[in-house]
Amino acid sequence: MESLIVNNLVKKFPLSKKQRKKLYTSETEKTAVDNISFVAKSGEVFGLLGTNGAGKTTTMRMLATLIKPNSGQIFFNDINAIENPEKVRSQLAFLTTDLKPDMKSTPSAMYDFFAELYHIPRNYALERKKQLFSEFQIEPYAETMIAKLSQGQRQKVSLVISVIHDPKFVIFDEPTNGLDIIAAREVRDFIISMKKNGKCVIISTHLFDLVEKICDRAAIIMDGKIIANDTLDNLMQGRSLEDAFYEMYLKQVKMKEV
Amino acid sequence: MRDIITVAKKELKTFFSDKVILFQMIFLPFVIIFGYSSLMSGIAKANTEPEKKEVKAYYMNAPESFKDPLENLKIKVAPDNNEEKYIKDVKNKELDLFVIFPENFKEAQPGQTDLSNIDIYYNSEESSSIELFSGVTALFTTMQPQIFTVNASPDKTYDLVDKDAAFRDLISSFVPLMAFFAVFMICMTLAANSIAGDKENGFLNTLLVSPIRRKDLAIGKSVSILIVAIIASLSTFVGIILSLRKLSDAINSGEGVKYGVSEYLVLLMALVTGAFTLAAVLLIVSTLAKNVKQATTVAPIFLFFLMIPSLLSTIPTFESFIKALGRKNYIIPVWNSVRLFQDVLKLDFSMLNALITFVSNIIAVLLGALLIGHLFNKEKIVNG
Repeated sequence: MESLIVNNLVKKFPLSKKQRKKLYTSETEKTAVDNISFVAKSGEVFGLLGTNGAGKTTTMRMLATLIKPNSGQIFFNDINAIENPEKVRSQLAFLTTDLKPDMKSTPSAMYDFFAELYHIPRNYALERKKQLFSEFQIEPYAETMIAKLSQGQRQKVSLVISVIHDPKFVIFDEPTNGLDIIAAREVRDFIISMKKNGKCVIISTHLFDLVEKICDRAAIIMDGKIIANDTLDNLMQGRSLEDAFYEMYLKQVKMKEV
Repeated sequence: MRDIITVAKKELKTFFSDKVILFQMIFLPFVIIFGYSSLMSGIAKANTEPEKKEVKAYYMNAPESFKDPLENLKIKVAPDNNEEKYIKDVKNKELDLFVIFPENFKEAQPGQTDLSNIDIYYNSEESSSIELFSGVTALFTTMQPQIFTVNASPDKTYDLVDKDAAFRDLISSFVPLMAFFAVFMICMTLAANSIAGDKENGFLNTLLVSPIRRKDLAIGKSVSILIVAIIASLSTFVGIILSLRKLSDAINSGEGVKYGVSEYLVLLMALVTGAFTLAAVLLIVSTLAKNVKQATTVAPIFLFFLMIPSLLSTIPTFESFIKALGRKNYIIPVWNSVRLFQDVLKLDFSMLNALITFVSNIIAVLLGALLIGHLFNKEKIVNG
């Protein structure tokens, strides 16, 4: 049983003089993620729901070991992600619209390159390539330069590259951002298939309907803090997720005023 | 190691599959240096070859003692006495020159005050006319009565310039700059795209979430650029070998400058190690830059390191100052390669200075690689 454990994660970013002036603050740093903790298990989709600037992407990037937290711990199974980032990366996939394949390459070449980087045995890599390219219908444009592909096609290529090594953990930041209806549906189906295959999937989003459709549990993040963390049913309590979120948001605003 | 090779292979595949980059890497350095040298030699030849145009010039009323010298300058006796016509012909560029001696011309004697005047009509719009005019006035100056003569002996060579040395000084002022410029341009483009470009388009983050160590990623990218630097250096080197011969034929009026195997080998090593250091510097710039535009804007500043030795060596004061620095010249990376290049072209290099240059550049490259690896671990640098 795979599990991701996040304990008291904190991330602060220094503010330049220009930024302090713009934000009308004398603080020299901004706390983007403020002491968050949660657990995600295999065979489930855990959602991190929040507005823009809430700290979702920062959290996801820390989970993906792209950036280091100022304090706190992240464990993928028993592996400490902060102390052994390379070991962790071989077990996880990170997807976001910011991460792109090499535009000057082809899907086939990209796959081969990452198969080598992940040290996947050649024969297995070839078999898996056939399987994944067929599943994601990439074969027709496998040798076309990625720069010439549509957004949806590039997203598929990114998806395939991310799961080359059959990761145990899939971290997906804003999975349907910028995608058309069909591509968004394909991504949702991909996430559900990952869950059914026993992967531990963590997504971050600001879209309520996405969380409602595919998440088993969710945490609501506001101003870098987790204000609720539960199953969807418990979070919603008979209302829509949007209404539940908005109620919590208003409570937070009142608390701040006090 | 395996990951380094994987990254380097991928980068090189990207470079070699782009026809434009391939052309820039293999042919452009050769084209720049050989093309420029051909242009220089063409210009030089045009200036030294005798005027092919058939000159037409007349004299009138010249005394006997002047006739042969004038005929030697291809100025012939006028067919008739129609002064006005020939003056008009000069104006209309139908005649290059018209020299009129006064009738009963008498050569001046020392102390004589009433002098005869010779009229020389020419047209300054025509280069052949100006040349003839210069020749005739010089002739008349030499033909004036003198108390003593200077350099009158036709059997002696009075200009003792070492023409070969003059040629070597000339080529050492621009060939090193051309050579390194070509390598610089190709390395700058590729280094900028390799790191800053990947940062800008999001591919670097894709690589950073893979299990590859950041240090290995940095080294893999660096190795690919160094390989490109070698290829560009070799192309430049071939261009130089052919250019030197061409330039020597066109410009050098001495016995001919010959460079041996050792000179060419040292030139090649200076070029390659200098190119390595340039590549390392450009990779560091690319790592620190947020995008390709920033990288390619900052990088040309380092061109000064190439230009300064070449430019300063043409000014005697600075050249003396640089020479006074002695061995220290060969410790400074890139600068040392240009200086060594100049020394070899002047046939005035020492193997010790060459060794100092190579070692200094290799150390600079290794330190550069370490720095790049260190920078790749900095969040702010790689995440932008």
